[in-house]
Amino acid sequence: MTSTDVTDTDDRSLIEAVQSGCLEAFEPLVERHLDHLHSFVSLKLPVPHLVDEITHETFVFAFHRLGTFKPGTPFRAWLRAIATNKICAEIERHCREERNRLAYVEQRELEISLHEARHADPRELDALQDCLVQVPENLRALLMLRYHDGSSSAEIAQSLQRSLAWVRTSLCRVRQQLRECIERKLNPGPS
Amino acid sequence: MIDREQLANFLDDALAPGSRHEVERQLDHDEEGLQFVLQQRKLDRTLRSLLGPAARKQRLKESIVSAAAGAAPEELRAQILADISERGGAPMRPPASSAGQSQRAGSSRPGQGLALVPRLQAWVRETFYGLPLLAHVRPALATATVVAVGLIFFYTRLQNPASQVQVGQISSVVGSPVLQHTARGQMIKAQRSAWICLGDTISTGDADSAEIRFRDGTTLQLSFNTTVKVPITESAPREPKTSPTAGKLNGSVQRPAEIDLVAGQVWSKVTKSTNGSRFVIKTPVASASVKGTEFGLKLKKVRTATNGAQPSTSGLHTPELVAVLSVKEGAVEFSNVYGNVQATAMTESTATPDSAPTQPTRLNTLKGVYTEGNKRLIVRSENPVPDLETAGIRLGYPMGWTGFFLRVPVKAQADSNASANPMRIVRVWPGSPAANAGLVVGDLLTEVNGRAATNRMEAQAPGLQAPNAKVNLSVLHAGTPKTVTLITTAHPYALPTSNLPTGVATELFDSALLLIGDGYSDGATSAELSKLAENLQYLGDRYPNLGAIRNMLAACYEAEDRLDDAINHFKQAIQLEPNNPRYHYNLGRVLCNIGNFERGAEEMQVAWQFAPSWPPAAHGLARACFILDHYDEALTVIEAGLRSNPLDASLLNLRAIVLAASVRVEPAAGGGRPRPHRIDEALGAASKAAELDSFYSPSLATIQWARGDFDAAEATRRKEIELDPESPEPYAALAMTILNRLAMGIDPYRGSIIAPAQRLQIEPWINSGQSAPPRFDEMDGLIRKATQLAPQSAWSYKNIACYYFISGQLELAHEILTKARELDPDPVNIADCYSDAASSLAQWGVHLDEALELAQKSVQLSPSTAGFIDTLALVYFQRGEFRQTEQALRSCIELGDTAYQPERWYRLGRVYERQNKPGDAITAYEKALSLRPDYLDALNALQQLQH
Repeated sequence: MTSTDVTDTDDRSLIEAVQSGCLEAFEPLVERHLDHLHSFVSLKLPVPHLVDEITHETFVFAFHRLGTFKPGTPFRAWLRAIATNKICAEIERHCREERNRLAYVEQRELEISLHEARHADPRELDALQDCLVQVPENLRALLMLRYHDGSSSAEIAQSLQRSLAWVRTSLCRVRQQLRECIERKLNPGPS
Repeated sequence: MIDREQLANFLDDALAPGSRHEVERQLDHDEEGLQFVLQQRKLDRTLRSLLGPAARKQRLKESIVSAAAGAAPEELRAQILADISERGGAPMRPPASSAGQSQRAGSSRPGQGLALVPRLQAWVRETFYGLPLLAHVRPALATATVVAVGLIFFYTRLQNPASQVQVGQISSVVGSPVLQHTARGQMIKAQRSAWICLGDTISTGDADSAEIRFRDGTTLQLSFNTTVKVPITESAPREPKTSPTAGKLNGSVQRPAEIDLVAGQVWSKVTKSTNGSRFVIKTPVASASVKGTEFGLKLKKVRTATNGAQPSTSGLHTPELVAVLSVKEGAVEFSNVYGNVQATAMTESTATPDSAPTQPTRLNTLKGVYTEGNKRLIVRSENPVPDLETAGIRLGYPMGWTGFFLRVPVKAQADSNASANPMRIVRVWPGSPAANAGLVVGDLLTEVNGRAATNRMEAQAPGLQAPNAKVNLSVLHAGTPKTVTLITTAHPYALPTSNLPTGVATELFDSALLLIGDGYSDGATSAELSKLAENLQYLGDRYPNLGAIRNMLAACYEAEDRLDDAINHFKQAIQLEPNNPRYHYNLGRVLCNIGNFERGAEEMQVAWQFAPSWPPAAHGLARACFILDHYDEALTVIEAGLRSNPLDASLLNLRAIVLAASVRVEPAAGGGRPRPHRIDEALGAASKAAELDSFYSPSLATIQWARGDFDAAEATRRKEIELDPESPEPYAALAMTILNRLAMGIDPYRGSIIAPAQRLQIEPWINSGQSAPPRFDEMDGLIRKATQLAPQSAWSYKNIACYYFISGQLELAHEILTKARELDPDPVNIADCYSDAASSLAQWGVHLDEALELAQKSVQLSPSTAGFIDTLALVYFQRGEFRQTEQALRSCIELGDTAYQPERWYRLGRVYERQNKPGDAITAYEKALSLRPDYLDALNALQQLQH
């Protein structure tokens, strides 16, 4: 579900319902925004095991502060702002706690992510979803095996009767293509 | 760029540790490759979320909705996340775990149990209708199962109705405390925000602490090695009916009626409640019961004394369980079957299993590090990484020892021409090979074994290789070239080491060298330390029974600042070789470094018992006892150590500190007066220590100051500079000594005025920009020199900013403080500078508007530091704003910094006098005298009012 699928009008009626005491209306709100927010947090937070937690905290925080939310303003943007604050706090905390034990790449990733989270481009996720649609069928199967079924590279190689090296380099390649596609969408050159 | 295939393997986590490390090393120099890796990882995470199984998010959604609806959110979420991670993100099956989880959630919310029914039905359908059973059997089996599960559910609820009653949350966690929920029985790691329910037990270990915040705001802090249980009782204060959340939770409770302290120490700040219920902390020995106050309760084991002269080294005595109650404010009833007492603010009472609690006695109002003149004695903390001095003690490898220490000149750090800037010998251990060879502090080292030495490691490494090695040193002694040959020895503190296989010995020697190098600025990098830890782990796997390897690995973790890992590995070394004093010493040292002094002292005690004549054990134990305020025990251990090693300068120095700190402490037997003669004994010990080893001069200078020997204190500081002119600390210390002398004797509360001579010195200089008098010029020069020697040190800039504030050059001061803040953004340190400057301006009674602004800023930055509020009070007092002064002093007293409580009550008395409230003033003076009966200023003020 991309942001265009979710209208602010739909959100508005649900938010007003929650604000007027109908707590059940919060569930559809979560339903509408969970996928997007979860992916947004995944994109910005380089600590995979905390993605669920931050997503969870963001919604619960939003619920408790829903009284302060102005209906009519974009709810998803508000959720992203809450998540961004929580991500920044989490990265800072994580850096402090793990500073001396992280591998080099993880540490650099944390440093860069903190900067990026503060300057998050909300279009990046939508661009990725658009780009995913364009992935060729054979590579899409590879992605599904990896990310939907959670198969290891060895299991994928066996399933597709390919070499382990092919699986690893192909995964890298498709991610690289997605990256380039996102860049094009975010920074379209002169036509 | 690094080969893509290699990066693909790296990203797939398919490389061996060595290759992985190599790729990381290359990435450090390959920006393009690094960006590629980071982008790949980012997309990997996001794709996992976008394309991951929908069931996983469904669980997350349920968790969010449950939390939002008022169920136990943290617990529920933790459980759901645990369920998710257990399945590793595989498509979720709803059966038993789902039902179980819903049951947990349902138990917290009335009515939610009903929501289980459709989910249970769904599970039954999926499970039984998918089985190859006869069609007519299925419905009966399914119905029976639903009934059975329902019965189990309700039976469990009836059996344990309070198990899910939440009373609070864990508000802070250090280390890995453990939480045991009665409902589940299993031990889980206690996380911040986790709910605490009636029946739960929480435990901290050697390196842990935690704080629980109950729903009414009452806090309970658990220190190290503490276990508390929240028992299930019926008398706990309930949520008020008017609360907006009332009725949402099943039996939510404001705070438990009582807590069982099973072991360790807790500190509690109890929120006053209007319904009058008391909060009780029970121990096996006695119970403390309060309505609303702040107090601590500690359960400890004490060993029966021998003849009082010397602690036993033959073995541990049977410990006796003792409960110690300390009350900060308000009143606490402390009772057991033998009787009860009412302990009031700033008192302490002790209870044992076979006697009533003792009558409350006054708490020690002085902490060990303050002397009579309220001058702080610096107890140098140990360097966490071993250097030449401590390597032989900690690492357990037989190395050579030379017994001298060098300082690299500041110029040489930036200039590789070592011969132009030779290193200065700044410390020579008495009786060491260096001392025997005739080296003295102040000699300049030019060559080692005929080669110019460019850094400390190069200069000292030849002496490390082995004992009995010859090292030729060329030095400049008072400008004259001189060559000496010294013969290395084993470190005097070295203990015999066990025989090690040859390969292991070499590996440990190399590791020791690297760790020693880490003690210097030109030492090991964090990557090298990680690599070393990896190698040592590998070596430990090959030789799993060698404690020496675990010890070295622990030292490596310590150098990496991974103190929890270090503690675990020192413990492993002890498990392998329980009688090795070195490992107990190391464990005790690290425990003390993280603040677990009780446990640290225990380990030091064991080390001392195994090696009573080993100075580090005596020093470590005495130091731990001192920090725990057990001055007499500390002195007993030090005396015993000095009997074996009468010229041990470190023990003499520690003796001086303990004696000086205990001047105002009553003797342990009770009933005695403070022991002012101890400051003279302290001076004797400090002089001897400084004479043997000039490294200990700072303690001497502080004790001289405390005795009122200001000229001597200043002279000692000057001597420090002479011996080690490249060290920044003595310059700053001398500057502060001069500054303190200027403000000496000025106590605005007492009505003392600045002596005319001082006023003559200060006023023209501050107010009309005239040239500074000589002492200010000197101070200025000293502070500048300290800054020049430590150009990247924030405290240098803070000192200089403080100096400019005092001298009225406010713009310049703010400018310099900005630089200090860049180097050290810690707000407390910045606040410290504001407060120092405000205090000096207020003492002199000048620039009071600026003083107020500075004092207010310091309090804003660190609102809970009593010293800063003290300064604010002083500024208000000088401005004649007595109501604000009173308010600020009361805030200080409430914060409860025990060291200065009598002074604050005395000042409050002065403020009341200025407000024409003699009755209140008398009460305040009496309070000050109850805390410190020999407080002459308070006594005089009281007598003047009463007569």
